[in-house]
Parts: sequence; C-alpha cells; structure tokens
Amino acid sequence: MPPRSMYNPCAAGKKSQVTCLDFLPAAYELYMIQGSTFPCAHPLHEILLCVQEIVADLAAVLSVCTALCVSAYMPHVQSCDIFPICFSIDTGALYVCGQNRDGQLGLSHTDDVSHFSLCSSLQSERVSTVSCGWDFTIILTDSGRVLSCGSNAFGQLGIPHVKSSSVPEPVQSLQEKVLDISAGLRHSLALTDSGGVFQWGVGLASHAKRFSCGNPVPPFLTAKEPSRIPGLENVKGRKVIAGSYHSVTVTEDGDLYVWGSNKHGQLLQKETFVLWPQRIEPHFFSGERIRSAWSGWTHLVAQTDSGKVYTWGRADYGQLGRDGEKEQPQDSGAEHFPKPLLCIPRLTGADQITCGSQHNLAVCGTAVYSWGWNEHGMCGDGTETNVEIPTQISIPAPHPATVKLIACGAGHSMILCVNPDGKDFDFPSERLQVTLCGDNTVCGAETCILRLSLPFLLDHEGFSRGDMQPVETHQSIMMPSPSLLIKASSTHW
Amino acid sequence: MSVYHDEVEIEDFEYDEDTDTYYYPCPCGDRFAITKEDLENGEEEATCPSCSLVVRVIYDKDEFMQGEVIPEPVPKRAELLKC
Repeated sequence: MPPRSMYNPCAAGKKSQVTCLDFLPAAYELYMIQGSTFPCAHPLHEILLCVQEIVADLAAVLSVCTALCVSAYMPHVQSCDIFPICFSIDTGALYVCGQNRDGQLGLSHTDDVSHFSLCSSLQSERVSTVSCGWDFTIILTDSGRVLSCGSNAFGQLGIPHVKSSSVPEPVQSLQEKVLDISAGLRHSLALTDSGGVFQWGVGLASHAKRFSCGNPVPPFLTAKEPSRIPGLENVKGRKVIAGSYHSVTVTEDGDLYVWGSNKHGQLLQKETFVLWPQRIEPHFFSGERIRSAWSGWTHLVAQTDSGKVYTWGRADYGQLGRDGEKEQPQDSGAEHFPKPLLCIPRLTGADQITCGSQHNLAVCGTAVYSWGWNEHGMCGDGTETNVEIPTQISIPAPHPATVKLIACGAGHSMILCVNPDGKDFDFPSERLQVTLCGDNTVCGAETCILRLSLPFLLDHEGFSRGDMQPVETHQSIMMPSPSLLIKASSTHW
Repeated sequence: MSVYHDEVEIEDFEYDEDTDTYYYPCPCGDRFAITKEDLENGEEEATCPSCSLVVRVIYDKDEFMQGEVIPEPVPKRAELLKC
C-alpha cells in the first residue's frame, strides 16, 4: 500500500484546497482540485481531476482531465446486479467501481470493487463513452469501436459463444464506425456513422412473444449480435436510448422512433408492445422537433428545440414530475393520446437532464432539480419521500459551483461541479466537487453502507476504505444491510 | 391493499443454481429474489432485500409443485409395493 492517504500536498498552507480522493489503485492518486494554491504551473482551465503519480512533488501532475464520464446508469444504472460506476477521464482512461459478479467492470476478475480502479486492459484506447447495463458494460472508443464486458446471459455483449467476459472484448460484427451507444437492462443499442441503429441482446424478446398476439417476432429482438433495426433506413439517427425493455432513437430531423415494451405508456403508442419502430407523433410536443431525449426504466423525458421538457410513461413514484398525475394511461387507450402532452414549465430550457431507474436530475442554469422515486434518498432533498415535482436541491459546495455533469443510477445520483470563482486564490482556476446522494454500498471485507439523502461532497479520504463519513450538516443513515447498490447511467461531455 | 411494483413472469427471472433462487432486477440496484422452495410452496411475492418494493411472480404453480414434490414419494411407494 502506498502512503497515499498520508500525502497531503497542501498541509503546509492555509489555503489547502487539494483533497485526495484516495480511491485510485496503487500507482495513482486522484485529487480533487478545490483551489488554485495548487502549486502547479499547468493552466487549470477545465480542470476536473488530476491524476498524479505517487511522487512527493506536486509539480509532477501528469494530466489535466478535461472530460469526465460518469457512467452510472443502469447505471450503468443501469450498474450490478447493480450497475457499475465508471469514470472516463480525458486521457481516455476508464475508472470503474461497483458490483462485478459478471465481470462487468472489465478488470479481468469478478470481485466487487469498492474503489475506483483503472480498467487497464483499455489503456491502448481512449474511451469516449461508456454505458452500463444491468450486469454488463458497453464501451465506445474514440475510434468508434465498441467493446463490451460482463454478463452475456441475454446476448447483451454482442459477442457470440461467450457466457460472460471480464475483459472488454470488441464487438467484432459492428463494422461501421459507431457514434453512440446505450445499454438497457438486457439489451444494447449502437448508432453508426451512417445513421444506422443496431440492437443486440434478447431482453425484449419474452415480452414481444407475450404481447405479439401470434405475430412473428422480428429477428432483431432475438439477436445476440448487432442486428440492424429495420424501418429506420430512411432516417438518420442522432442518439440511441435504451430503457429497461424499450428502445428509442432521436433522429437528425428531431423525431423520436420507439420500439419495445409500452406497458406504462412510455412509447406513446396504442400497442402494449411495439414490435417495429414507430415514430411518436409530433403533435404530442405541439409539433416541435425533439432536441434530445432520455429514458429511465419505464419513463421518458424529451426536450424540444425550444427547450420545453415533456415527460411520459410510468408515473407512480413521481417519475414524471407532474404533481397529481399518478396514473398514466396504462392501457394505451386511444382516447388518451390525441391530446398533446403537458410540458413542465419549471424545466424549460434545462441545460442537462438525466434519468435514473425511477428518478431524474436536471440542471437549469445554476440550479439542480430532482424528482421521482426517493426511497434511497437519491433525489438529494434530505428526505426519502418521493419527489412529485422537480425540486431544487442544494449542493454542499463551499463556494458557488457550476454544475458540469449530472448522473443518476438506480439508487444513487452524482453531480460534478466546477467552481470558477477564484477570488480567494492567486490565479484563476476551477475547482471540482463531486457530490453524490443515494445508497452506496462498499463491498468487500470493509463493507459499509451509507444512505445519503442529502448531497454529499466526495472530497475526503476514507471513501475507498468504506468508512465514509458525511460532511458536517449533512445526514447519513448507517444501514446494516449487506447488499449493494451502485448503478450507473452513462453520461459524458 | 398490497401494491406490487410490477408483475413479472418467472421466465424473466434469472435462476441461480447455487442458491436455488430466482432473481430479477430491482430499480434500487439490488435484486428481487424468490427461492425455488418458495415457489414450490405457492409463494408469489419476490422481495428486494434493500428496499420496500415487491414484485408478484407470474408462474404456473402446478408446474412447480409437480416438478419437485411428486417425484420424491413415488419411488418410495414403488418400494413399498415391491415388499
């Protein structure tokens, strides 16, 4: 063990603002930059994290990270039996953490990992995007290659003849350059350079058979290798989104095409299961084009070109952020659907939105809003009561912070902040804070579970040792439960 | 009134032979679980150890009862008949 936690580079100075996050493996340390007294000549523009070799010299900062990818959906969210959490930093390195029963962390073993660990087998490639399914991970490199690891029980890795893989393996049959990926519970999506959408993993197949009323199930729903989605030949996809048992693509023209389970009305179609891609009628959004969309397990969120935000699908935990609207039309009856959806005025113009399994985060200017299921405190409002309407949450920042990135997992949320305010410091800089809330179970011998119902500033030692303590004034509840809950939703910038 | 988070067909559960347990993803990140023994006893609620959610398991109870309980007494009876 390196003397990492003993190494406090700023101990001598009052403006000690560099905090060792202490969750990287032996050869590295990860510091949170909170102040510009950091004796480093590197311009700290866009600084998020610094990875420093363990040498007692701060000038030896190796890399300034300009990108951080928090994959916590299925966590990556879709994460885990939980979804793993993955960080990708601008060196293209991927850091992973969480449940690893099926090798979904890509670390060449299947032990759970309680501290962020470098996914070293990817070191020859830069990771641009990572998306975590329930028990697997899909990785997209800068070069447009797709790799996958974890469980292949449903063919969700896109790699034939393997039960699981604890090392990221290339999805060979995807020949084209891939621009976007998304992992669902038990299926995966990829969008290629030419706009084609591919799906693999048989997660939707049992639902399809059940509800297809004897109609043949399209082959792409039972494919264990990437299979091009028919019916989208004449549209150019821009983004792919995998829900628990449904798929969505946003096109360059601002349309939404959907297929899969419509059990909760999440596809805005009449059928309980949509076998073939269908376009959502623009009149639901008052005729506007869709700029982007996001999906939880059973609900969807979309933002139009003018910035309006619409939600639909499962509503019973407040997922839709519309107070009083507990029941969505589950039978997808035609009478419900000619009406346009109601937008959520509070979220108009939102800069970022992300969905967890049953909860959501959004950034509007400097404010972070949360809504939805909150049993594990992942809405960050200090309670464990479901949040019915988008509600601003306070971030325990020592200084006003600019939110750079939000991520929701199954039972947790993460917020990445940068503080541009350098007035207390010698030269302009930005400081990073990662806050999180929700359940965090640290696995292994030093098991500890923290339930944080208020955002928690991840800026101190001890995280990797499982003895995380909350900062003052923030609540935590110790839970004597052995199970683990880190999930991942993939987001990157 | 018991409100189930969902109703899930047994075929959508993943079976773990080591623990004789069926698992299904829970939105909290843990898993709904129900053992084979529970199913043989006619149980239909799969619970999550980490949260309050419960799913109802859709399965053919007769099939589970027949598969596990019936075969055991049959040989014994056969032996008795031989005696």
